[in-house]
Amino acid sequence: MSPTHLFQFFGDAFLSATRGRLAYHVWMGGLTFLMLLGAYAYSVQLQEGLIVTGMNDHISWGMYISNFTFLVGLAAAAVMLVLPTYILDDVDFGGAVLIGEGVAVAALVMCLAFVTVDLGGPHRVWHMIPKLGYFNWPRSMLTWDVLVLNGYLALNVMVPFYLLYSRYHGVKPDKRKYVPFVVLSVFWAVGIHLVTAFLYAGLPARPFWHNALLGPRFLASAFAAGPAFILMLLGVIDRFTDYGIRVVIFDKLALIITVAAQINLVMLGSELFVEFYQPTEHAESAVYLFFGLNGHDALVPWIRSAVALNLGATLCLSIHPLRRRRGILLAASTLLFLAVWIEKGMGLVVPGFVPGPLGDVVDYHPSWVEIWVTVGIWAMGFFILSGLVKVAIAIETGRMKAKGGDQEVPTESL
Amino acid sequence: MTKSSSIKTWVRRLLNPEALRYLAADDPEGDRSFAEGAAQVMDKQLDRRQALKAIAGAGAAGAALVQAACAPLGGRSEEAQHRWEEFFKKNYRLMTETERAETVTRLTKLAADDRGGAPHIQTTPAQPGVLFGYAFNISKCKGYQDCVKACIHENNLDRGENMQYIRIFEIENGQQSLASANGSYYHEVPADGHYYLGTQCFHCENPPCVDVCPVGATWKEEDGIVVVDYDWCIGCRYCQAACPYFGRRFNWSAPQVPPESVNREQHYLGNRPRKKGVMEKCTFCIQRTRQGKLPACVEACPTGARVFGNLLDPNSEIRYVLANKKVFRLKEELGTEPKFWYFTD
Amino acid sequence: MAFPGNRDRHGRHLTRMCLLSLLMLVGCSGPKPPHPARVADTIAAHEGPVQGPDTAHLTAELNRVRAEFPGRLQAADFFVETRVNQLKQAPCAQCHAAPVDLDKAPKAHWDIQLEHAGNHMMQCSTCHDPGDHKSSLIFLSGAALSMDHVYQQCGQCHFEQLRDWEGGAHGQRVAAWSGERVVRNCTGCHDPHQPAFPKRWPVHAARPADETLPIQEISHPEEGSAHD
Repeated sequence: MSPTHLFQFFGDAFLSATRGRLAYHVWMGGLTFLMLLGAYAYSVQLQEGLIVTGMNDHISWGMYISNFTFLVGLAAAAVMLVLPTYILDDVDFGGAVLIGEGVAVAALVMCLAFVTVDLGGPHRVWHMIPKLGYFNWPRSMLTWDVLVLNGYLALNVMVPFYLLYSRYHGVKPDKRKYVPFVVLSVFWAVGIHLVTAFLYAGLPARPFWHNALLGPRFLASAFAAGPAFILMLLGVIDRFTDYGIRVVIFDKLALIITVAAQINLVMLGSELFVEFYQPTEHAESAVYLFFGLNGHDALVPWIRSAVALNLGATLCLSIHPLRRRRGILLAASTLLFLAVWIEKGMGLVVPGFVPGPLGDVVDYHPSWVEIWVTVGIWAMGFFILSGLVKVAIAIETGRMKAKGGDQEVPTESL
Repeated sequence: MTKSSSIKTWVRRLLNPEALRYLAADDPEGDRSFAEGAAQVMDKQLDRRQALKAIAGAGAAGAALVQAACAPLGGRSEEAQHRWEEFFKKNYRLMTETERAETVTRLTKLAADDRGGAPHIQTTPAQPGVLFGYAFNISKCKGYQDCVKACIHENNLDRGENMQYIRIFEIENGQQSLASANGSYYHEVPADGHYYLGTQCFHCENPPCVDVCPVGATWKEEDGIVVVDYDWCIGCRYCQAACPYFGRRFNWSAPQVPPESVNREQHYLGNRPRKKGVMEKCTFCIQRTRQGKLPACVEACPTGARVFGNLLDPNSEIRYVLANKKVFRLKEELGTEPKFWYFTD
Repeated sequence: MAFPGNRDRHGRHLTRMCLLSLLMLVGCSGPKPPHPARVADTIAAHEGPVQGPDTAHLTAELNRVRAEFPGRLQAADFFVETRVNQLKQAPCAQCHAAPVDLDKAPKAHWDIQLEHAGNHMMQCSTCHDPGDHKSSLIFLSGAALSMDHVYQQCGQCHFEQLRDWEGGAHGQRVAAWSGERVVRNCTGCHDPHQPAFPKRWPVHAARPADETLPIQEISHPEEGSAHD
């Protein structure tokens, strides 16, 4: 790994990521436009302060942290492909695992971006750097989250990079070099999502979150929504590129999604039972979420559609003949993804604040600035994901590989 | 090129390519304040810590530039330098006495520039043998809100957003839950058949807000007061989510206080002006109570519903209340151990 | 990194977490369950006579007199704000040379409305004796009492309040929480003729909880305008 080789690799990767069919350029151009819009919205927020969002002292976390929470799950979901491939030596997932790790990287970058835009003083983030600043570890769960997210990002960049780089040079990757990191990343994936759940579950002030089921439920919903997203992505890749995805991968992923979605539903049922069988004062957040409280019911249509989508999608997936049809499988995955996004994003974060600790019931409506920043960050995530997937496919299909002398990357068919 | 000067150039280029251009003397019209501020700092002998800081902060300094653009630097290079040094100062708890004095000098100068009058910023530490406690008589409070008004003026609270540390709840007789209380009444008080209950930061013995802060910007002082270092807070609002008593307030926008009504008797951890994007809260009027005075709310109360004193002094009023009255605290089951009790006649 | 001089339990969290994991491994036979620190324990551990901040300059300007409780050997250890120097219509001898008959309606004191426990129980003469004691108040027994020590008079009926006032649960301390204890007299907060606190408008509007509602312009009614 001499600097020249690295330089060559990145040069090739850049060329590969920036060349493609018109549709690819339109797609990337559209994402860039959305990112610019998001950047403009963020500049307004920097200028005026967080007052331009829909948040206030009562509901002090909104869309940003909702998306952050959801995306941590998406990032953690890569483990469902990593575990069988690298550790159980299941060769079936071979083609898909790099895609899964690409999703993890994109999701983590989005996570970090969402946390950053949520900060009141982003230019003071250096206060968190140990030695220079003060890192309140191990007391604050947020510091744990910072550690595990950045660690997971590093793991998910390192391992695929090593694999792709070896492939690029036509060398067989050395198992002893990467398998320890893969094993670590499996535990780490569970860690990032549990720690994120503990971020909430560790607050007795908010009964809606202060709940031992939160962590397991985070994992179950993540292992449903994450693979669902990867499955959608594989569907797109299978359809639009020459990089064929084998049917067995779809089948296995579908099975994982189905089981996780079913477990998630069981947990949802358990939660609903505890909240509503003998509704206490602590159930008021759930009442607000599902029925509305004191005439405030901004979330009711959302959560009800989420539950409906969840039920519908899980039912579809649970019936074998339906699940085996590609179209229905993709549709069910999309619905499931949406359902979990609503349920675990806004449906989890906002009701925690309603009613407030002193009984205040306030509705939360995201502002346009917030929505555009959110759209911008999602666009950034897709932008990164597209680039990563494009390069990964180029290397995997052998179109991009190290050569002596002048480099010429063949134009791809994407 | 020597090592230190190459670092200097590198940091400068990272910070602001424009500034380099302005450093050339051939542009007399340009705004040179930022560049000069940086230059003055950089011309000093950098010790390792400072250099590290400057380098590691370079990424953040991009954002600092945005901040600088948002709040235009004054014309004077001294001011620019002060702002620069303020940005890179330490957490208040880790500062030495000298560093504390330095930042107070800088803040005083900057505030004088901003608001047309120099504040007096104390750094009075907690006194041994003092643990502050507070008791609130729900039989006596009539809901007049004199305390709220006094608090706003004493603590330089944001008038633009109508920020208030104290909330007074109007509760129907026979009810106890705050969920059924009216926290935003405005009519003649006391209303028949109602009683009044005030809340503010309860300065818990086990404050959840302190545990969750990722950068240690909020902590409990020796005398029990939970404070915020406004210049250290990164604005993540985790503490606001963790507080079971709605004791914390966030500066969603730049706070506005009319210059003529700024209280210039200030404490570093108390009522000195805040900026947008940081957390703040009741400090039991730390600028007053560390001098032996009573908090503004206690002094303003026209009915004597508020009792304040030293819990470690067996002869204090607060200890009399705890020993002789029927007291309760909010949400005792959470184990936060607030140092704020309610009692009745 | 530890902060100097912090009574807090830094570093213990990590220990506690390790302990917790250990507990999970070896079963529930750990040394102690986690327990939140209690204020009561902190007080018990650190209480004692305290030299608080110096507040002599804060109380120096106050007109005060040491509180007295008739029948006690020792003087009280706190001060009460004086009353005499604040009064405009006292002592009575300013205007009245001859004894006044209180049974007649006191025309010159038309502004005093007595709303204190009803006329059968409380009359002007319950506390005032313009006959024999023009410069003081009187006890129920008829004995004279300085206006500065009006709390003794109120305490004849309101003995519970007097007890709480002496201890600090009733009434209000002034100027400083430490050092010399100076408290308001009963009449510092209550109008003795109408001791109940009046109905009035709050001096400040609470911030509405629901900020999505437009904040209404509050027209502050003029002081004393008809509210009924």
